[in-house]
Amino acid sequence: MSDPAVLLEVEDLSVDFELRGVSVNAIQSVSLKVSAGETVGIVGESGSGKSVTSLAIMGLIREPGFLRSGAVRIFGQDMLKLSSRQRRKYLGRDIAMIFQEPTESLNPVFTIAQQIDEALKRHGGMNRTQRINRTLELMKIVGMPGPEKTLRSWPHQLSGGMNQRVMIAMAVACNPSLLIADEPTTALDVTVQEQILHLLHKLQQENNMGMIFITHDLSVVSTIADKIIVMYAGQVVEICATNDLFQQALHPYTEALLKSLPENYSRTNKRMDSIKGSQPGAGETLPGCRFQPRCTYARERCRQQAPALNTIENYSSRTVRCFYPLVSDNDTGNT
Amino acid sequence: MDSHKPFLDVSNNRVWFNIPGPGVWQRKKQILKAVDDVSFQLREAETLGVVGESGCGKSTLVRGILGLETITEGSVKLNGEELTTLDKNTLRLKRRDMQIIFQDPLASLDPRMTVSEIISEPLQVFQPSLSKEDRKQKVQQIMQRVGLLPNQINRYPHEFSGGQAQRIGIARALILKPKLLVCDEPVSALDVSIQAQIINLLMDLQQEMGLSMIFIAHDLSVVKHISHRVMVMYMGKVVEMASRDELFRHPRHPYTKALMESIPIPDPAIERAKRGAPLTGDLPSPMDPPSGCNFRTRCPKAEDICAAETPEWNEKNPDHWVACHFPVI
Repeated sequence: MSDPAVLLEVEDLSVDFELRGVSVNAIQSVSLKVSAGETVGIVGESGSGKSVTSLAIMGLIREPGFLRSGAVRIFGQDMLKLSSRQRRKYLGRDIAMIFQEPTESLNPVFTIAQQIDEALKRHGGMNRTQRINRTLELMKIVGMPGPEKTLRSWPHQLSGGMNQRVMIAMAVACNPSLLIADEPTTALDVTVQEQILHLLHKLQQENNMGMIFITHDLSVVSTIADKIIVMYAGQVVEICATNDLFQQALHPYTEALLKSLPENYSRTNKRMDSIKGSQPGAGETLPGCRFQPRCTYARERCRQQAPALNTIENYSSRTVRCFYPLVSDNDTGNT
Repeated sequence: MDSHKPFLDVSNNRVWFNIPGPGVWQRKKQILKAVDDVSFQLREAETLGVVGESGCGKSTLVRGILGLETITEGSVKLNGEELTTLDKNTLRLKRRDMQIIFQDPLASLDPRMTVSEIISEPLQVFQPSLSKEDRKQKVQQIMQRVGLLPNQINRYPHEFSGGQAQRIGIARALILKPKLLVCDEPVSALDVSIQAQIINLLMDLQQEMGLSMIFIAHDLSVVKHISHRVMVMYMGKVVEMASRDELFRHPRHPYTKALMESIPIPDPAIERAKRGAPLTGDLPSPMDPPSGCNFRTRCPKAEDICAAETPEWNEKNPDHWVACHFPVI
């Protein structure tokens, strides 16, 4: 629409779930932009709305969930205004997704070759021979050991890491401009996680792909994202460049998250700083800030008014949803 | 640490499973060596961290120790008493000294029992003479200790979040005041902020009660925080064992080294600099392990001898054990 480099523009997206006649807010006015070649990490605890955001972008919200407001524009085209038939033309071709549980996301009764072929059949416009060649090529792109043999295998014969490579092969089969990865390495072992992160990074560089990387793990996101969006209880609470985030968190929740990483306590017998309490459950509404009951800095105003997302000028225009962001008063330059 | 006597002594422990082979008519039995020749000692009030990838045998090892899995060979001594030769009933009585908490807190609690029923069940089994009031009082005490509210006593597991459910699991395990607590990936299903709460709780409880703990995790950073000593497993074998500081400062086994290098560090500058997966490939099939050293197929330092001979379990430095032909010096 405006900037040609912007692949995806999500504006004011809100999703509700209707439970026993009451609608419960899952995500509230989430806005984000992804440009070509950029990786945006979405971080948050379970229930913070990360996955709902990604499903809403893909148009995959099912009953009892429904979209209350918002727009999802891909190349300026609002996906949410399209019929599901029209939308399907984009899904898989321009925007693809990989999920957390690779073994569950694959169909157990088809071979790997058949499943990758399906993605190509739908969008590729290739003939049979071309498709077979492309399938083999994809296996090599994702670094599959013994590609010919793997193609004849069924998902249950492969390990989690190999199945995730298959999922990635399917996702990048039609060279999508945008890849949404929803906790792609959470179910994998650390050594395999490293391999998959490496592969995703390589593919992205080669194809100048935009990527949304969803995870609960701040250390994983630091390895791959250019920009990080922190979500809490359905809201975006902080948006900033990865380096800035790890130098100084501006939102108390982000700070608390960073403090609860065990890595920061290595070889000390110090107690870890934990965030007291837990996230508000679905349907629990608070008058003020959603993080306020767990926040160590909360003041009276936080209990009464809900803060909006604000840009903080001196801090490389970072965006924070907090009345009292953690900026030092005498700090004037960029961090 | 050295002054402590061994509290749990596991030697040459093997847990092998018989697996029906392929084919229908001529099924040849295959053997899966889930745990193969593992020996270690746990001292009193010590935490031993066990790390390794999924399928390396960490859970089977501890299940064997607790008698939840039949041990093919080897001995397990708790306070000098051999457990493997005990009959079922005596072993059951021994279990009051050894308790376990599991990975998936919600799945390990009976959905049809209330919190008070879940937590008091071990008391009913091991102290049936206890009066109802005493039992209730004990349940309330332990609930308070693990951070559950008194008014939650009659609720059902589904009303709790993962972190709270794990607290119920901890309360159930500790109500008998056991001496050994096995934690099988107790925090991997939890969010980071909750994870820190549970780890703090476990560390406090250990100090208070003088618990010996075996702490299993695939997350090295958690193990690094909580353990006194760490054991690294690969395909059913222990490849390295040392005190935490020694192991993390000077990993000797190439696998330990690779494992450490794959932990993402929450600092973009360091992460960007290292770019390059340290380990290639997956775990080989445990049904058909490589000859010699199990790790040689993925090892950057492997030579001919690694395929020919199984490396010996050696003490390279005081209290630092490694099984490798070419340990890092």
